[in-house]
Amino acid sequence: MKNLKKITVLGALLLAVGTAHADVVAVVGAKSPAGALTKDQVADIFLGKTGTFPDGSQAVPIDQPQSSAQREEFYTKTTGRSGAQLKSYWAKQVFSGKGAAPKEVPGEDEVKKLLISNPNLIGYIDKSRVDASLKIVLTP
Amino acid sequence: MKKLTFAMALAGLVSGPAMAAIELAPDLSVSGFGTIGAVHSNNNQADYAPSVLYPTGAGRTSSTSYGPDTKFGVQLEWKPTSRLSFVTQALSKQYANNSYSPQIEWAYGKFAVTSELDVRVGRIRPAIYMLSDYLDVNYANPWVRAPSEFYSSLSVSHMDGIDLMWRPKLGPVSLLVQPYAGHAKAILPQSTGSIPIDGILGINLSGSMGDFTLRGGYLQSKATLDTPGSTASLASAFAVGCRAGDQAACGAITTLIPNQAKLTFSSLGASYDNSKYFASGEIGKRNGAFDALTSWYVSGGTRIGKWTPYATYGSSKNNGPTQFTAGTFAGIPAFGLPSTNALGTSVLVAYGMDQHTVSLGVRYDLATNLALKTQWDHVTTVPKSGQAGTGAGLFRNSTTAFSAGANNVDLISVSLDFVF
Repeated sequence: MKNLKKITVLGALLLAVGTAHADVVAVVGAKSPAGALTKDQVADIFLGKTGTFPDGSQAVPIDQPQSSAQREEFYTKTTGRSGAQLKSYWAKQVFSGKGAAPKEVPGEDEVKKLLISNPNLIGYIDKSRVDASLKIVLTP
Repeated sequence: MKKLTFAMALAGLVSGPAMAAIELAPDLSVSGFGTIGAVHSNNNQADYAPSVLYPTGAGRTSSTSYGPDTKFGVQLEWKPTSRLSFVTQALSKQYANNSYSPQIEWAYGKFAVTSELDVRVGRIRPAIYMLSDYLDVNYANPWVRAPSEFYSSLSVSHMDGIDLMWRPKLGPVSLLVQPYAGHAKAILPQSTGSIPIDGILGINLSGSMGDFTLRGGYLQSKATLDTPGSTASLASAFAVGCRAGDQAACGAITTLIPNQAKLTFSSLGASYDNSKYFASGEIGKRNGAFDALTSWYVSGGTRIGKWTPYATYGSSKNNGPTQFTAGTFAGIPAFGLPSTNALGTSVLVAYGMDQHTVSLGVRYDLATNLALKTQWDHVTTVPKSGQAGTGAGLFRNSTTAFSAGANNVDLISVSLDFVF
């Protein structure tokens, strides 16, 4: 009985983790010239359709690893495309020499570090990780 | 099977779990794509192949063939500065000479004149069709292979030349204006020769707004049939008639053996993709020395999780003359000897004739770099008003019985596509 209770608690915890709603946000460094962006503007930057922020300054997107939970959520919310669809999209761009997918960095800490040091970069992380060194440009 | 070893061995190298573009140095990267695919035909009288440049296919040579779809490509990109880049891509697939030896499809230097204008010089794939750029990258497309009736209209995969890519934005519309110029050569199967295509001048125009893309293209060129064996014997056979006083035979030498003959291709296409549903269609018209081909397709499908079922209808119709008779060609007198007319007719019917295909298939995304597809094609060939020899459609190596009349052929294909 005691074991069953333990299992139930563990199960509830796992379930809570599984369904916990991660709130991904698009962010830039605090020194970035970028202000609030629309979903389409962010999607255009991450799909390589534009290389600039609306004010004309250079915009360089950076990606989290394929395995990250934020990556899937971010792209689903901003572009409406799944991982496989994005891979098809980038295959078309890469093999026709038209462009390359955003550079991948190992994780949220690395994204944060890079955004703080380079105002041209734009990334996405969980809302809970945002502090004064970053600016939220879109909550998709 | 032995010929496949190269492609498969290379494919084996990349089937590891970590498939992503490999960065060799900060500004140098290598990426690749490929397909391992098998096609099975229920007809042993002719070979099905995606274009007339394939030496064999599925059907007569062997009922199951890896030739039509299996391929492997590797691309190297070097970007020494933010405005200058070099791209080279080698592709291994079943070529006309029956070998899988890799050929260079792309090898160009690209310079960004402005953020909206690129110029590319070297070996490039001319933007003849909507999917020209990545026609061999099956992973990027929903189907096992691009609709072959339309995509075999002009069998030129690459040319040596120059193109400009100008991408202005017009409000919500992203435009692409892409003129190109160069020369190409289509190698014909079984070492019969080649078709040099010189003086290529073309333009590709497209506009995208949201999920919708519209494109149009036009290309003009000069084509020559360079088949030392058959051209010479054909010319000498007509010359015999010419010397005997048959003016039709004299005219046939220049009319039926294209030498710098004008070859044009115009096309229109549209596509819609809202991530859940997609549909596309293209139509093209090829006009050569004595053929007038109209080809088109429509396709659509839906994405349901990892599954992407789709349906396609493709059609190719050659409205060029199929009989060398009085008055068929301008400038050729009405009276030809029966032997001249029979020979002329045999040349005309050797060109691809009418074929239609209904395809149903499904793609399953095994992983983000790996797709498994299966497709059923029902191919119908239609002879020209009962004329024997015109019933083979776009099939290769057909028997006399196959090309004598109409045919219905069923194909089942299975393929595994990957990118890295």
